Amino acid sequence: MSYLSYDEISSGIQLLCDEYSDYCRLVQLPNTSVETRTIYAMAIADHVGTDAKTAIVVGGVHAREWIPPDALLFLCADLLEARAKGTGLRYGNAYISKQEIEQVFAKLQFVVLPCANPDGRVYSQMVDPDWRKNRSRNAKPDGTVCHGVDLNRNFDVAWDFKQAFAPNSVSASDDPCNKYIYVGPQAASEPETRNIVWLLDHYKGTRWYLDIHSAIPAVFHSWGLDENQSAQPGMNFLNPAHDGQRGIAGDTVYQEFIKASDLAELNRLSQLMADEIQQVRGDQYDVSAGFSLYATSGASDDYAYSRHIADPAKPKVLGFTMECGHEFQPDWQEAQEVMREVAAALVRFAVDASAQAGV
Amino acid sequence: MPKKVKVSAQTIPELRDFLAGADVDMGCRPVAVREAGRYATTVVSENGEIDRLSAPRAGGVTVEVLEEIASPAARLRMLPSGNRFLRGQIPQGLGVKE
Repeated sequence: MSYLSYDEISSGIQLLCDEYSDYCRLVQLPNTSVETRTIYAMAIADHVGTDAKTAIVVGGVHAREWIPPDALLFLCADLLEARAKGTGLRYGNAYISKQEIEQVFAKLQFVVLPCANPDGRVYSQMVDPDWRKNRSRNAKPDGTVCHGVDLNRNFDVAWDFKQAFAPNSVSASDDPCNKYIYVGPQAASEPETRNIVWLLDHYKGTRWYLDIHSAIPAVFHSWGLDENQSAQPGMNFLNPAHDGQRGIAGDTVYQEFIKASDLAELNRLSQLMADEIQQVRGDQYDVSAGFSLYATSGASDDYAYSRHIADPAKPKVLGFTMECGHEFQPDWQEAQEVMREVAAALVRFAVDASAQAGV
Repeated sequence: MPKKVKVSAQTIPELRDFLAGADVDMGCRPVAVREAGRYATTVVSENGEIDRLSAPRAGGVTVEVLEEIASPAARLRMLPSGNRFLRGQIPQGLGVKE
């Protein structure tokens, strides 16, 4: 066995939802990719629906990170088989019981998008294994054509980094030819970005959003915009009075507001996942807010959490990024070990989320 | 051949200043980890840039080459041809069902 191709991921999703149709609904995302590939997700629960209490899990945003899409497909295969056969799941020394699996399916809906960036995945696996972005065509005024937008800089939260942040403080670029971190011509310009936004809009019962990346390893949560503070609500990403101040580490001029109770819950769940990962084979994942060396603008986890602040009519969604493993493309044996870690963490997270009060 | 490199400094501003304008790949997300009282980050860079970054200079920044990155050809060899699910085989996860 080896890493999955995008065609295999796509086939695998459809096969799982067909085989386990009592617990799995195939979701076709409304936007095809830039290169017109159809993109699928899965809604997994005893009772699926748009208003169910939901956790959205996404992989493959960054093309060269080959582990997350495979990890999520195999996680879904495990969950569905365990539910159908009435078993628990073991990943190394981590164990989730049959009763816990049944509780997850009864009280939580998992919406899983294994590969959000299929064009990038295909390009990464056929041409350039260091490719990170999607495959948008970026034509510059001088006639130069470059490709790709970093989808994890394309979401509508502090997207206009030159306006929002202090100079040289953010890992982002407005150069269409930047190989790694071009933010796109406008917020949510990319169809792949808009698919994730659609998931958040469509599944109104969503309370958690997890974006699976590699490789550090760590579990991060909001904010990646700046260091967190819970004392000054007006000091936030929406306030133009702070434009040009954001993103400086260790200063007191600007820090991003986050409710203390939200921060505590983000920390708790992040640590829960890191602890479960350590159970699998002893690997230690760091846990922290996303901001450290540089700020990140337009990232999906921050976007998910920002929605209820930008629009109080929207429900609160806690946002996480898991950076799994130590390399983008380890050998297959090591990759499988990392996938077990991802699976264990997400199932333990699901057990906890399923036990929380309903929407 | 690109290499994985650890860069560390006493403070984050010092680390940022050092990396400003450097032709390096910061990985998925630019993070600074606290190690032994210093801040460290891991980047990937080509030999010429590593030599430039490693040149003696004033200040407390250290540059340590960790390992070579496998060639693109080697990594592309880890990939399948065709679609192994075309005959309807149901994907099997990695967990033990017990």
